[in-house]
Amino acid sequence: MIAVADVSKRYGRDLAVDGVSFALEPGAITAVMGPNGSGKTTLLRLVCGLIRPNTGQVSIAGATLGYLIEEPAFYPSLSAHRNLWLLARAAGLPRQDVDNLLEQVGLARHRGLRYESMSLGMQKRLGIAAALLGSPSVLVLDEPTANLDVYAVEWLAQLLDSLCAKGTTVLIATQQIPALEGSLARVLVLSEGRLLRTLEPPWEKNKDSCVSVAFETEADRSRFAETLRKEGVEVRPQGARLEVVGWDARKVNQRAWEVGIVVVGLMEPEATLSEAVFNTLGSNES
Amino acid sequence: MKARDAAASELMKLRRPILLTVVTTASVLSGALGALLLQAMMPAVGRFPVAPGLPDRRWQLNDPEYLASGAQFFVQQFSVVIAIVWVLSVTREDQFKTWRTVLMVNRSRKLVFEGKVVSLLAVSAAAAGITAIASAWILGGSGIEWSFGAVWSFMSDVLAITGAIVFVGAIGFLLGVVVRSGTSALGLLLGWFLIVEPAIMTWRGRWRGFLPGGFTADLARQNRPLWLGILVAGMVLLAGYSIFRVRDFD
Repeated sequence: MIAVADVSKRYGRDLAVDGVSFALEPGAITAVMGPNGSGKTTLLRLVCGLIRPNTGQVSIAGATLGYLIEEPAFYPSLSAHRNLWLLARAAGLPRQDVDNLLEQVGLARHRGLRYESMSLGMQKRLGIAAALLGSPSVLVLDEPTANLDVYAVEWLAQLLDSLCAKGTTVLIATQQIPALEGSLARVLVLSEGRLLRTLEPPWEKNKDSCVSVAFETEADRSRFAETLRKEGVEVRPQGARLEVVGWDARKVNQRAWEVGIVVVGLMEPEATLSEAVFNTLGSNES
Repeated sequence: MKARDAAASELMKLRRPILLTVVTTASVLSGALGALLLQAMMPAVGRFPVAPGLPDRRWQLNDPEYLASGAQFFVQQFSVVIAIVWVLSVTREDQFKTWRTVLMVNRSRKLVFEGKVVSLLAVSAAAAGITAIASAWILGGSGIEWSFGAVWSFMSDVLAITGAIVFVGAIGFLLGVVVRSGTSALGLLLGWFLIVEPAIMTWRGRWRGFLPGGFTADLARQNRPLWLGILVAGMVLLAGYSIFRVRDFD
């Protein structure tokens, strides 16, 4: 499928991508995440062959690529249908494919609308339709949720899931972490052009994440807080509950049982991708 | 993916309304300007200023006098219009950032380049034929003779004119590939043909045949062989391709 081996790209004195290597998992969604200027778009352009690496190699043996890098790019004076038909013609595809794709992305009613007259969301949908021309085996999308409303984001998540179910491999760069979190199989965290880590679900919790504990009595709460403080554990009173920082629920329960305190409730927030990404970026800075 | 598909797609782009409007307007203006100038210079319909004293007679399409004046005059005007199309066909892709969309459906840069060149050659040939015949019609008036032999012979002249147009177009194409901006490329192209080259010609007239404008005129008048024009235009396009093949796309 697609393999990126020790790829670097330099613009003048700036190293946009620095020795990145990874391979895409077939039939799954891989996301590239990182702060602005971390090299996400450059990495996607390298994968798509729009720019050439200074060192390293991108191999796309046997794969057909569809992509949408940054904002969609079409002829402003031509209609949605005409723009897609131009591309389909170049690819040797029948006109029927264009009609089907416009239907699929919800633009069938607007097929005659000039590109320059379309809303940003409609332009994005047309860009996605172009990327899907010819049913590519690999789909590369850069910030696909930008300019899309919440319904369209939901539609996109479903579309990507259905494509993956049919075997399409997806690579996306995104800043909007929650939008597609449930669909991601892997996340490449980039910073300053370097691949810091590859994350996979379940996402790791933040070391500062806490467990919220409820007790039978106020005395139990005070006594447990005192015990943990003596052991150097950070605790924070939160109403009638106590937040224990850096421990998981199992460890809190175990310790309470050891000191003879009855715990009546434990709330442990689920680890999120945002936490995992921020952890990775944070540990890199420190 | 075939070169035929790439060329067909490019031809569809060249037929887009905005480009047609620009080309048609520019053609009409240059044609009207040429007709007005020639009519002012001609003593009578069917007579050309370069051949004073010729008896009134029916003109043939392949008359040397006609070829030496009217058609070339129009074609030289029109070659600039066609060169603009060659320039815009490249720089509009940069302006709209559509290279990346084009290269998505056709990853072969060679095929994309070939598609563009083939479609532009087709447009140039059509433009040369239509313009030459139209100019013959305007200049010859009712006195022109449309015999089969004359039209057949005229085809070789149209071919030479096409060669001249393609040569100018190829220069525009190369400029477009290098500077990636329509305004800059057209500024350089028109600046050269309208200002720089005439200035050089005034200074060193004997260099005329080696300068692009002079070479184009020689090709159109068949003072230079067509194969030489094709060879030089091919080298210019090859230079363009060597840049296109390795460049990065936004």
